[in-house]
Amino acid sequence: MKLYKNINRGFLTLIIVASVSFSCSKDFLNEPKNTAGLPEDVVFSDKEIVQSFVSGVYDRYKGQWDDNLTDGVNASNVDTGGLYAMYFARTVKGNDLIQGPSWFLFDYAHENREPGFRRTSFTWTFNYEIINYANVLIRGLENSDLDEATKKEFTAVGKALRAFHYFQLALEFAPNYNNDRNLARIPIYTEPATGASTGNPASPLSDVYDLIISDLKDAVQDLPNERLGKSYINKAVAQGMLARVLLVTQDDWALASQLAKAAYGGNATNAVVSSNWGAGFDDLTDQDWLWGHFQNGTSETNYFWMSPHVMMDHLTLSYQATYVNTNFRDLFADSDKRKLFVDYYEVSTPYREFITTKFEYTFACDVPLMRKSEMVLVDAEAQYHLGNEPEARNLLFALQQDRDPNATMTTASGQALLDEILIERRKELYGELGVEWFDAKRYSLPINRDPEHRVVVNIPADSELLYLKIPQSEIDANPNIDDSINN
Amino acid sequence: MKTKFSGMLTLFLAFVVQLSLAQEKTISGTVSDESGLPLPGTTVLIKGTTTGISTDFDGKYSLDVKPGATLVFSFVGYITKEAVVGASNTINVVMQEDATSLEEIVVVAYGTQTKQSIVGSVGIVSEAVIETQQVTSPLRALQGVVPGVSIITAGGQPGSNPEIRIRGFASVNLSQDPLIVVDGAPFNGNLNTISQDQIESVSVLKDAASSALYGSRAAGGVILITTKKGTKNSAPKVTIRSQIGISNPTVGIHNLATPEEFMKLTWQALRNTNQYINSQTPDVAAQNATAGLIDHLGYNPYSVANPIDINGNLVAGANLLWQSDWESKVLREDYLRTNHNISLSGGSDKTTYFMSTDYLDEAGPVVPSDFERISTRLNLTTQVNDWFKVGLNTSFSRSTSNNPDQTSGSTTQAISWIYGLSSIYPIYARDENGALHLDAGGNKIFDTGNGQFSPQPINSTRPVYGGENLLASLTLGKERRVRTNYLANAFAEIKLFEGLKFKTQLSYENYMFDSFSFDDDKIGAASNVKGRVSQERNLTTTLNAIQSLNYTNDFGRHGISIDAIAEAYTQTQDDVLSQGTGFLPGVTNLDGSTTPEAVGGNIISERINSYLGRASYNYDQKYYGEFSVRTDGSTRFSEDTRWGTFLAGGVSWIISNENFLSSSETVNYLKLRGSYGEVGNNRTANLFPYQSVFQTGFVNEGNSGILLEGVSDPNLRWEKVQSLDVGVDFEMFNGFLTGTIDYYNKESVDLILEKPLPRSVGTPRIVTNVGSIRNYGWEFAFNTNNFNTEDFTWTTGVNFSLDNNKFTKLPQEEIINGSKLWKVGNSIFDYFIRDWAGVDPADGRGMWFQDVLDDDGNVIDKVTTKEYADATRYEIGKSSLPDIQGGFTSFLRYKQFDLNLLFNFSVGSYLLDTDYSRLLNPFESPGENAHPDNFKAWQKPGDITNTPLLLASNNDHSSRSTRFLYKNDYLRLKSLTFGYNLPNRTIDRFGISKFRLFLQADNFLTWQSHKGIDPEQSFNGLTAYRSPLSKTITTGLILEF
Repeated sequence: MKLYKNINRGFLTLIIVASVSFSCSKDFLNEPKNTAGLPEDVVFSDKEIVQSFVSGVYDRYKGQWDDNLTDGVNASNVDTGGLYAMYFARTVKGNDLIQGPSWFLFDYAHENREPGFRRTSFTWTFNYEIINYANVLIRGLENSDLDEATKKEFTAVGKALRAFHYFQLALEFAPNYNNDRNLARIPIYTEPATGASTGNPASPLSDVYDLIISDLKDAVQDLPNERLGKSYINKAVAQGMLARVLLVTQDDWALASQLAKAAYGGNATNAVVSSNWGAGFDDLTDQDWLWGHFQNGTSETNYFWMSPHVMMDHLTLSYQATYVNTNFRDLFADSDKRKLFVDYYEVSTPYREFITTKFEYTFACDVPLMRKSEMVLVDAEAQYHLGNEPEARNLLFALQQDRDPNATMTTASGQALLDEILIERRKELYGELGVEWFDAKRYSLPINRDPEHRVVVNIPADSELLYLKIPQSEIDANPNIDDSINN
Repeated sequence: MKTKFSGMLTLFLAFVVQLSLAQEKTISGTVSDESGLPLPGTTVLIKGTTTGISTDFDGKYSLDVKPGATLVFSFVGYITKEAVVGASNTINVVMQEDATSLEEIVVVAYGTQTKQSIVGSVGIVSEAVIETQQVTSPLRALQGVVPGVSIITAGGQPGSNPEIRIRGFASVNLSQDPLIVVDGAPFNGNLNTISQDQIESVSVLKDAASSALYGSRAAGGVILITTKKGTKNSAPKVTIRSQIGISNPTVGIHNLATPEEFMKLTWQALRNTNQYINSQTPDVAAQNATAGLIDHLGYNPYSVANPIDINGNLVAGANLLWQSDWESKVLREDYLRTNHNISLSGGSDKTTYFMSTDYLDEAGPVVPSDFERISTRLNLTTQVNDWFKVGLNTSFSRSTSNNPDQTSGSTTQAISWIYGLSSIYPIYARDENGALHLDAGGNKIFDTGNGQFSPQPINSTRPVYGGENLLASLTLGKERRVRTNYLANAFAEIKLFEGLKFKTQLSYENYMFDSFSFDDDKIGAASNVKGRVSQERNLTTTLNAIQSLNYTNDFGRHGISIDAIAEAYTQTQDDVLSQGTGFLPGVTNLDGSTTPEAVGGNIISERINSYLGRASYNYDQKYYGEFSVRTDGSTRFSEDTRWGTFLAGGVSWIISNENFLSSSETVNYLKLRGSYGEVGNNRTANLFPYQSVFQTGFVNEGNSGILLEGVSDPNLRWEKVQSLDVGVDFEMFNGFLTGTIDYYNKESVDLILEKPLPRSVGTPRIVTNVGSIRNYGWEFAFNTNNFNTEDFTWTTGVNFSLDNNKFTKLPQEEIINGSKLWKVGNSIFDYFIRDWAGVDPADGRGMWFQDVLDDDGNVIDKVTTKEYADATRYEIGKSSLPDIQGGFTSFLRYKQFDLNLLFNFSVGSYLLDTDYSRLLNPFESPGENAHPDNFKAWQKPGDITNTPLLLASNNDHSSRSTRFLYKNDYLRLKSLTFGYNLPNRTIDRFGISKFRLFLQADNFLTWQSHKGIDPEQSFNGLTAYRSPLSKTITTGLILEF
């Protein structure tokens, strides 16, 4: 009886063990998979997924950047949200526009270049983050079994991205290239980051520009014209990028002209036709636009982040922060369709006199990053430097007569002609890319602010205010860079 | 009726027995507890024999005894009493609860032990301690009660769970939270779904020996929550508890400037900037400040165009048109807390049951925060036959709360808004003359400060928080959280033969977190998309199966116990998000959305498979030894590094059971114990931390996008904590003094840390095993039994701990982590900030100290600088960790009245109050609120002050430095309970066994060294505009029948 009872218990125990216990084999632990994303070998096994990696980068451009994705600690802020924010910080550094006491106020006041500041940290980290993506892309393709055409096309994308961001770093963190080409401030990486990565030493600017130019030449060579949309980089965009680089190096105007021409298509009169003036400057489909950020207002929107529109539009719910210098307004003829200035508030405060309606803010506004009209002006500038002043005047006039039916062709020559081209750049591109800052930097010009400004800071030529200090976080973690880099 | 019958039966039996056995006599009586309740099931033994009986349902017994014999009354959890049989035939006994009872059964890892046999360090919190507090999240009751347990509740949202740290900070990057185990199964839901009334006891496993069986997740200690059960052979008992009371914020927030003060201060800042920064003459600077003030602020709350004159005073005749007291609009007083509970428990000789339903409705300090919860539980156990026992513990809980943002630091967070926006900005929109704008229906319109009525030159565009209005987002928007938790825990126990038991337990938990947020379609961030609804539904399911074999037996003086356990754990996270815009006014359902905006979701699982063994041995109940081993395979590590093995062992010696001490009058009990072992930590933020993957969900021009998250270490392995504990437990002077002293030393090795990479590498850090950190300290707990008579009881207790934290290894020499410097020898929380050197009386500028270095980098001098960037960051020798923290208690009972007090305290920690620094010289960003302390600012050369001149331009005066580092000592009367139990003779008549009226006050008083902010902020000493906790006073009653 006792034995029977014990057997009975044992049997019950067995049943319970069998029914309740899980298979404790390897499978139990191998079954869960990381559903949070795709591993690298899968990404580089399929052209479509490689393409999506590139799409991801453009999402990052127009997003609300923080470095959580890469496990960092930088919080996201409206003035450091993406590429658009980097450009707008340049925009407010000039004399033509005035930033109210809102986002970008420290950039406006030229108080934002110290090693611990958000601007410095963002501009450095953001550009290097994308450079690492480019390196991952280039190396991943190389090691993949994808077909050669795919490899070639996307390697070219990777090189264009890498060059574009090294160019931004060289602009933001170094003085005018032509003042000292051996100055070492920017470390170069051409391999993807690994856990074993340590910081590289800063390379001479000439090495940085050599890499930029060689990458962009490869990209121009290998990129197709076809693309998924105008927020993607194609051959024309790479040509435009390289043309901009040559505006800085100023040592190959023939190539600059050739690239600009290729980018705008060769016919300046047709190239400058734009549907965006007076229509909010928010439409990527404009034939004038070569490259931009895309938003659709619903699944692809950056909400209240997208500069310049969210800062410059005063007529809708937004920051309503940017005003226009009266003297800049006066540069435009009344018949110029770009003269979109309104005395909106009717106040006596000098800096609040005028606003512009160039940019109309919505959740769906696209943002210009490169336009054919800019390329026409690049060509004009290059022609001037090549000694071909009549052609420079023709190109300048091609733009002017489209914008203003009463425009007349300039008769200026020499420096006066160049000055006119630079003024035209300001009038055409204001609010978009920080054109005053860019031109002051590459031509070693001062930026003097009129008394109408909210904060009057005059920037002498080649002022250190035209570049940022190297971030403290870099100095702290990079064994090859120390505090002396900021002396 | 029944009482009468059994009474008669007793009498009759007594009569019969007395007749038959003349030399023995029948003793009868009632055994009750201190509150007069009968104690059924009390064992009554004749000393020196095995003859005895249990008390019946009414606590009554009767027994035949020889005169002069001694009766021994014992009941688990009560002090055993003896009574000598004398002349009387009646012996009534009042049993006293014994918190330190050595025979007390303590819940430990995978089982129970007597307190005496424990070799490790276990803190016990009984139902009685929890009952004296009102804790919506139940583990808040541990604060000030168990030494070595640090608790911080951040923010006043009711239902907020505290952050709990046991014996310091065993990890840096991984979760430092203790593992919570409810009735034997790991708990992954929200703690606030458990109501305090369901808890019978909480065990805090602090050292390796006691927690190693939870090896894989025990690095932060383990908290075992055991829910109430019924008692065998007891009549159904119904307990009703009802409490209603009011709450207020514990402490006030920082003082704020009135509109007039604010205008004057801003004027002063403008003038200073004009004069000292822009080099205007004093007259011009003042004139420009007067003329530019309104333009600077955008709004004018006064009836004249330039309300502040060139001397900085309010001009005569300027009338204030409005004043927005955001604080009183957003923070409320005298809000309600209601709690009702009914429970039923009892048991037959085979089955026990406990049923409980609890309802709680609690409001919080911030409008309209609240927390409403209903929770129920049913625990059932049945002894099917002498070898088979089954049981089911099951609970269901649902809470709904309005959860306005109080902790995130964003614009529309309550305190952030109050501190961020001056009272000169109106709640309702005004025209340029200050008159209210009204809508077509004549109603006021919330002011959003972003040009609602443009072009209106003033009173239209705010320089701060444009587009928002806190009151609008609080009242028109909605932030609702619903938490539903279902927990079922079934077990079966089979006694295979004497001493050998097999137990199987399967637990399933289903926790659903539902969040609903609506942003208004007319006002605020979503107004230009006609409103936004965002709904998230996160489902966490946990399935845990444990099979265990236990063999326990005594062989003469040798006692052994052996466990072999296998465990399989699966946790699945199943999240869905949906968001849409475009709503008609009044429509707040996603169904009404015309534009879908975002969807998201993922299902991801983790698993742990474990094998455990434990062997314990004791010799003659004097020498105890215990050894355990656990091996875990976790899916958080790659196949190669997946398995971790954790060993632990401990010994104890009950010295008082040795002959030389057994008769001591001074030392009644003395136990020495020591343990050493290892536990692990796999609780990374990411479920697959060893893989870096390309995240999905990006999109560009309609094309899907992916992006690589940082780099990962594929060889990532378990973080381990090696832990030593030495302790002594004692009882002296016949129970007058009891106490426990512990020393611990924990070294966490292979710390999974973020190793900083240079930003230029493209990814700022990598998570890898580098570094070690050590936590060590002392814990003390003493209790005294000052008086203990029939009418008067007074007990007191004090407990405290001294905890230290130190890095012993790091990936690089120094890592600057915000305001802290991590290096070997420093703690995680040692401040490393600039050192404020006061204000230069000559120009009013703030100064900081700066080291002067020679060419080799040696410090050769220390000077002051006015450039913040140049100032040196110093290790200032202060930390956000307290030197000492703990609590003390006092319990007084006089007849039917009782008074219980619980204080908790913390001494020696420092707080970097950036809530306050934001309010000091906020004028560089126009319109932000200001503290009246700004009036102490430097005004003219020669002024001696510690407050630098106010400036309306960029400056670093309020940047992080020792200027804003405050000592954060505090003492809090955490709970006060004053109660009255109606005498038994009164309530008996109504068939009631207990009737208690009481007054309870929680967080009632706070003494603090730095005011204006709740002292409970964060372990790292940083503030984040958290709303204060609530102090609550309630009246309540308990009714039992």
